[in-house]
This record gives sequence, structure tokens and C-alpha cells, in this order.
Amino acid sequence: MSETRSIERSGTKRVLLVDDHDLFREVLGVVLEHHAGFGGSVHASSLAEVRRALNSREEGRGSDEFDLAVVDLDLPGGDGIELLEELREAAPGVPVLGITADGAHGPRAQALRAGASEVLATTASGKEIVAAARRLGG
Amino acid sequence: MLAWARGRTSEVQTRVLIAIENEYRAYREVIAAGIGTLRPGTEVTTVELDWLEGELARLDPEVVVCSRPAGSGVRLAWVELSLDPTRPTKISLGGRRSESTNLALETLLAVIDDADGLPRSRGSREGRVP
Repeated sequence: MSETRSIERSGTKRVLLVDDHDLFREVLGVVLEHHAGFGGSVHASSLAEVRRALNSREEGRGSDEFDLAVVDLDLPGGDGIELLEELREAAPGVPVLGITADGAHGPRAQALRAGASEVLATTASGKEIVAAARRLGG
Repeated sequence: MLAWARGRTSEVQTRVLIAIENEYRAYREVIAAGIGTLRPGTEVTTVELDWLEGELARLDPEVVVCSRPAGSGVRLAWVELSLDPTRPTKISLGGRRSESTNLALETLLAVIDDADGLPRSRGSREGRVP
């Protein structure tokens, strides 16, 4: 994906989805919109795209507003943690749900220190992810 | 199978089996839920990779989305999903093979839609593409 993409639906809550795996990011958007009450999503597949989204948000572009961020903590180059720190600074009131394939405690603790509200492993069920998104972004 | 991953129409057109290892259970179940939501005519089932062979025999799905290459038997469509977005996903659909790096949802849905249009009688199943 070459640029940040916003998808608008009928609801009011919006979610920022950050994952370099296009399929997973896109289906997660569909699922959160249909099963967790979100009305739209902002998509980003890299730290650079998140920075663009944050800049747009700062400039007051409504299409880039979001009420929850779901972040793949395993982005290449360790960008997931850096991204968390930037999100915390730019959007301190927005909760962040981190997702990682690394089941070890290190990345999870690091993400929580960097500002993640909650961290789930990729071994979590789909329902757990939806429930966490609903709880944090609701 | 997740209730929220199922297709919602009473008449199922296409059976889709999603088989990905438990390490990526979230991917497996969210992909299934997304397909079930966007293609309510499908019946989507998820299975842990180790149970794949048994579920293939039991369900005889038209479309398989799997992190493993196509094995025994033949299907209308087999999507060998790469969990690494930098490596290609391999698609076999009705005898045609293609690859897609960082597979998009739109491409996966097109595979399911195309498979839905292919002949699917018991006899033709036996002639499906490996």
C-alpha cells in the first residue's frame, strides 16, 4: 500500500489500523466496522504512513480522525514501538491496542511502557480482538 | 467455527476453509470473519493447520486459504497465504496459477467469487486443479 487510506462508513467511532500485512489489516477493518461498532477506519502499513495520518489529523482533516489505534508491534525494523511513542505524543487521548506474534514478555512490556493500552498476542482469538477494540474504543 | 464468521444466507454457495497455525489464530479467525461478513453466501470454517487433512476430507471445501502448499486432493481454489507480506501468496484457481505479494482483501474475494462461478459437481470436483 503506497499511501494512507481512509474508509468512511455510517458510524461515528473510527479506528486507525496499522499493519504491513494488507489482508489482515483490511479484514480487521471490516470486522471492527461490522462487529465492534466502528464507523470507519484509517489504514496505514508503515511508520511513514502513520506519520502522514498524524499530520493530517493535526491539520484537522476529519477523515483522518480516529478514536482507537490497533497497531502491529512487529512492523519491520522495530517500528512498532517507535510508532507507539509517536502516537502517544501526537494523540495522547487515543487508546492503543498492540498486537504481536512474539509471545515473550519483553515486547509486551516494552509496548506497555511505550504507551499501549493493551497488548494481545496473535494467538488470541478473533473475538478477543473485537472485544478489546470495543472496550478500548467504545 | 466462529458463529460470527459464518455466511448468513441459508443457501451456501461456496465453502471456504481457512487453515493457519495457532500461532496466528487471530489472523485465521479475523480473515474468516471478514469473508463471512462480505460474502454471506459462503460457509467459512477455520481450522488449526495440524487438523487440515481431516477437515479437507470432512468438509470438501471449494476454496482453501492455507499457510501451507496444496497437498493431497484437488480443489477449485487453493490460496497458499504468505504470512510474511514481503513474500508472495500463491494462488491456484481453476487450473490457473498466479502469485500476489502482500495479498489484498479484494484479490482474495475475487478468487472466492471466481471459484463460485466454476463447475462444482461431484464429477467435476474430481477433475479440479491440484
